Amino acid sequence: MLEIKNLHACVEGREILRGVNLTINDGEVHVLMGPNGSGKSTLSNVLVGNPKYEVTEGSIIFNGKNLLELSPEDRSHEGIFMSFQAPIEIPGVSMTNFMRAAVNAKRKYYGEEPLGATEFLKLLREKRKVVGLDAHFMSRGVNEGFSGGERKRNEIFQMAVLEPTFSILDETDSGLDVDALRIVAEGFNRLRTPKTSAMVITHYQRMLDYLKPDFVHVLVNGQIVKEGDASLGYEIEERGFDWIKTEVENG
Amino acid sequence: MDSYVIPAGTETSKFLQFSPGSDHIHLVLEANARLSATALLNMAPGTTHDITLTVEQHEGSSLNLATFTLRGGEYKGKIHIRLVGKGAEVSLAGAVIADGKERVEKNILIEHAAEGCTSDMLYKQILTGESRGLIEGKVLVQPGAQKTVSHQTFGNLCISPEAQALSRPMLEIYADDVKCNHGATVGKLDEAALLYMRQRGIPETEARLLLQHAFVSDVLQHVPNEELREKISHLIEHRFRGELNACQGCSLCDNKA
Repeated sequence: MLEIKNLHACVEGREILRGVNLTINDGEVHVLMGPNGSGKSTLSNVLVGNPKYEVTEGSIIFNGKNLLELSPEDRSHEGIFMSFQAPIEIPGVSMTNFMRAAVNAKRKYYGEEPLGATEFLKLLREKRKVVGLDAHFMSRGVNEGFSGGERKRNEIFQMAVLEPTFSILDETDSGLDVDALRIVAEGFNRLRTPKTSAMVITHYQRMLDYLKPDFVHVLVNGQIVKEGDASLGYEIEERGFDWIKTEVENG
Repeated sequence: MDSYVIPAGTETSKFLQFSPGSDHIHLVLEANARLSATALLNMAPGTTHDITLTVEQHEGSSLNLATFTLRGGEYKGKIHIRLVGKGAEVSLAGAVIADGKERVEKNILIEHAAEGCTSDMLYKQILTGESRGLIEGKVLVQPGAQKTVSHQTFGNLCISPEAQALSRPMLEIYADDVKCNHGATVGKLDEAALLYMRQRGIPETEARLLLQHAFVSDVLQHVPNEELREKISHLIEHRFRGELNACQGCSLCDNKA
């Protein structure tokens, strides 16, 4: 599904990623861990095509396509979705209009007619159930006046509507209480299929408990320095990152 | 000049229809009258207009006015509100959209001539091309108009570097027990919001359009009638898409322009 090779990327002239290699196959959930500033968010921003981030070397192939040549909107149509770390408020653009624009843009990309009003509302109603988002949120501005937990649920709701094949969860768990985390993680799990994959950035063991990832990667200083299965995640939760840094320094 | 009186104690809404060229409408709100008025200007490019609205508000009356300048050609609009009776309230909201070589100039004066009146101004401009927009909003508090409360908000969005937006909030106060404030901002479209929308698959041009529309959505909220609000909202959308000619597709008036 996704093949990242020797990826180097800069933001504001500073090199953050220094040769990332990562392959994610269909149906796999990969967790990305690492100390603050190690490049986790940079990697997710590069994957969605944030224009602030510049790729200076390397390649990303997504389902056979050169991802770096695609606009952010086309990456979305191709099946990439990012649950943002801090989902932004867009006052004046209602959730309904926002989702309609997103759904119909994707349909247009695949040569399909826009969804009729009844079908569209039915789709929203169905998908809201995944994370238990009330109907009244749909007439509000995007994330306008949403609490932290509601914003994250809204991200998973949008994911449910857009049905991506590859999802990035960028610290979707941060700032959530136990119940909200469960709703978000269970919502995400409900959307998993043998054809969908995910890259999850997290600091928390609870998220590992829910997601049962296939692989854990540790990013330090813009490179993946250690890889393992879920048990590596639990080890980091217990011991922190310093022992890994020491391992790296000692070669 | 057309003159209308809103009788004491009544409540009504009105669509103000201005003729192209030079026009003047005068409104009188008698005691405790309530009026919600909407005006839409959509004039042919290259034409010149000079339009005036004067209002006299008596005790306890309330005016809610929303104006939309979708195309103004070369347009000068004057609004003069006189609050002559105690406790009168006025809320003015306006959106100006201009492009090409359009020149839109708005001159607003709210005169607090009695005690305990409240006024609110909310004006937004979205300018592209080489258009220019100027909004001067003045609140004049006459001697004796104690307990005046007034608030002015101006927002400008310049889409192209050649467009020029100017807002001038002004206060002239001759009473000592008043609460008046104002704010003005000039901004560009929010890049983070753009990325968020594009990540969800909304093409950049469409995302920009939605954000522009959102910028004037609080002005739209001043149109109390939902059907009319929807119609104007659609016209604004068409305007941003460049699909709106003078009065085309607009069923609001009898295609006077």
